[in-house]
Amino acid sequence: MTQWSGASGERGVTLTELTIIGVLATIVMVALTGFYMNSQRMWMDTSTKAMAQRDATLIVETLRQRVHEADDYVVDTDDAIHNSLTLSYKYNPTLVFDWDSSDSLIHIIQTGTDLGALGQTHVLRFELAPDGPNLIDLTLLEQRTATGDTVRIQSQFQLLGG
Amino acid sequence: MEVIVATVIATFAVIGLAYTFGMGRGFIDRFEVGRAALAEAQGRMEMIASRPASDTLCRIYPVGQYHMSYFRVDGRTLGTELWTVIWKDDPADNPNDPNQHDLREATVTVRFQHGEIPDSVRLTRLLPPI
Repeated sequence: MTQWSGASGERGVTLTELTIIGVLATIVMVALTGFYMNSQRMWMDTSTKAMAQRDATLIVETLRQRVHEADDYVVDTDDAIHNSLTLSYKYNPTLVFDWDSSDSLIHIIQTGTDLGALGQTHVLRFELAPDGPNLIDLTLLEQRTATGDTVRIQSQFQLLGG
Repeated sequence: MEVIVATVIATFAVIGLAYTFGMGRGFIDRFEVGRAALAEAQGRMEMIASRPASDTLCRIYPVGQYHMSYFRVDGRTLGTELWTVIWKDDPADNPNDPNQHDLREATVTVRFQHGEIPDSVRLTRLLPPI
């Protein structure tokens, strides 16, 4: 704190100086708080988006691997935006990739037993389309992050197990 | 004087920090398009592998000519997709083999742009000749 000795020997700061210091400090604190909040929000957005992208890739790569091994498939489009994929194998039990409304995640179901969800990011749309006897189009996989961003991906998978 | 110097340094530090957050977000967004492009290239490759060599979508073109399509996700065009299929000689069967058509080599390139930086993903795969 500024101190001085005036002609009369008084020490301290005037009320005006104190007010100016207070106003400046408030401005700086408001700016820093705003910056901190913005940074934290951007950090959260970015982190959840990166996790959603990783989950999207996990789903696509799991589908690719399982479809490669399959020798037949059925796409169920009763629900237009949450399709279901049933894969048949020569020597293994049937697998179903199905969207579960209770947690909005894609689950793998093997002969009636839920093997668990793929990823942790909510799936908004899981749309598939048959493309001939040995090709499946993932026309859209759309996920929504915890902060409201969306991640979209699409691909095609070939059946090689036949 | 010290106060002014400290203020300038602090301002630069804050601006630098804000810039790194913005850059990080930009990289994640770019990475998102990159992942989508890789999935698209893999999908195209599987489509080529699933069809016979005579199919129009995987016809063998002279060097320098490509099949082309747009790289779209959910109706949004994010870039272009080029793919080509060429004959490949397998040196394992006979280096002096007059038949150079032992295998097909498919190459898929997905080009996209995020911001001002052009980027691409390329996949190559050998396929049976038929």
